[in-house]
Amino acid sequence: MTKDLQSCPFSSGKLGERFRPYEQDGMFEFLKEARESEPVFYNEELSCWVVTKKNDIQAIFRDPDRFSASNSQSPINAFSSEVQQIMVDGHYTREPTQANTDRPKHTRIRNISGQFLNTKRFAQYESQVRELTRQQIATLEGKNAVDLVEAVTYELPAKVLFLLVGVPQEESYRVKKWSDNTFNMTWGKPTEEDSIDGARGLVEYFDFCKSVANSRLKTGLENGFDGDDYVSHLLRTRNGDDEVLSMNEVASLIHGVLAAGHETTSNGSASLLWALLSDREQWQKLVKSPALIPNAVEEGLRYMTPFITWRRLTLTDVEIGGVAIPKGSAILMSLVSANHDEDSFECPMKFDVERKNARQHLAFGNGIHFCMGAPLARMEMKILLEELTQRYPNMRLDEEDTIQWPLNMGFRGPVKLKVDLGE
Amino acid sequence: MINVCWVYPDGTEHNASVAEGVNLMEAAIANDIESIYGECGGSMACATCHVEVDETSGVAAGQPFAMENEMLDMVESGRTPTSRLSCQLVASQELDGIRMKVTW
Ligand code: HEM
Repeated sequence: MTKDLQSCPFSSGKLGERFRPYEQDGMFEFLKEARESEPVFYNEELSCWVVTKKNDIQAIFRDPDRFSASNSQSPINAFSSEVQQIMVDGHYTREPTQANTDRPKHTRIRNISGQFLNTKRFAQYESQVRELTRQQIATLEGKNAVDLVEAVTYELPAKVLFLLVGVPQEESYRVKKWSDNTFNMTWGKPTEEDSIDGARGLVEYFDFCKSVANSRLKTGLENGFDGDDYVSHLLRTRNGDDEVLSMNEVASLIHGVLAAGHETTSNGSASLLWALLSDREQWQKLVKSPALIPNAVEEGLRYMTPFITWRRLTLTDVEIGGVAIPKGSAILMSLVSANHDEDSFECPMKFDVERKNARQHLAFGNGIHFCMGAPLARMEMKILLEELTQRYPNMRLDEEDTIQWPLNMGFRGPVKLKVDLGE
Repeated sequence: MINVCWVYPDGTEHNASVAEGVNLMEAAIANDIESIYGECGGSMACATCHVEVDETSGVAAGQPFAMENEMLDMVESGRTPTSRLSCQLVASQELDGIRMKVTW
């Protein structure tokens, strides 16, 4: 166990009032106390019912008839009217298509995107993902002290996604910045000034997605839609029919995949490296036995879940863990708590790359919305570890540098990760 | 209760009795069968409970449902004529004695 996870618990008082959803310090102790004493509690700050046990959360995920996903990406702090106006003026018409959509629309779209976002298709990208990973790692040559977030994990997953979406790699930095902004606007605590700036960013980001959709449509109409990228697949399936998929849905899907697909993997990768390097024995195991890497990836996702929380909305009166919750309530599922539930994982605070049931975590959700990018994220993280453990087996965490986490109630991963490459 | 058997790639067999009405993905998870994950919870949106039914046991694989059929095409290890998503196989007397090969 590392010292960061042990730090002081939230002060005493009523559980719901002591919940600090944006902060990392004391999070694990607090959630443990909640699982033991009040596994379902109300938090006024977020106006949410917080659910902390794995079984309860899994049951919610598997019950789309009673739990809508429509609120899963709503800004936790509502936008001001000025911010909303910027978005109206900027024709920000992004619409729910996947994670925050219910059936039947969700099914229609998932069936189309699933023809592309699936294990088999992702496997075809394996050698290209490895090549991109090697190129990224090659930028470390000749250095000794580096911030792995900045140098590797921040941009790499975006480059992989660009390959799938068919967008030039030069755009990746711009898209990363827009995504950071989106995540801060949705799950963070931006000031009004940040939000106004942020809203302009959201507009630019969606304009970019619309332009990708429209330019691919134009070349498609001229030369046929035979591209092997995701956007060409969507346009081919659409075949000019709005009932199948509208152009606004195509742009929203591009936005969706660009947003969902890399910040998560960036955070997951950085957290995994941090956990491994915090306990060198675990790192050493992977250096010696690369066959353990796929399980280490699962353990990383369990231990430091990239989306610590995910939301649902009750469509009827429900009872969760014996607590009556009325229709129309927001439910905050603590995925990180589920993944540390003593009833499901033995010694949950121990990071163990050989844990037998590591993959039973809920980091990718569960049920009809189960993450479509999971096989890709797993592959990316596996390749990154294979390459890093072989190229820099003596890598160490820079002890001087204390780890920092973003102020975010949904989204967690180290802001930077300073290491000594051990060369 | 019916008897079911999962066979690993190395040929080792794992047997269990399963109550009627329980789907065989859930049964696999309850029995710690490796490489069956059931990540979509039985909604035919992933293929992490894929099995190949060994028809020599006398139990037929049956016909996959339409949605299941599409997912089976995406199985990474490749689909076979007796491939099924085990979440769609519900324990019943008809399936008593079923043998399923697990792939990874
Ligand atoms: C470590 C990396 C990732 C994590 C932790 C993650 C996590 C999640 C979670 C928690 C959900 C919601 C699941 C639910 O409601 O049951 C989700 C949905 C989704 N994810 Fe991921 N994700 C990751 C990577 C990716 C990647 C790389 C892609 C794209 C290639 C992707 C695409 C999607 C899509 C399209 C959905 C919506 C699925 C639906 O609603 O049917 N994700 N992801």
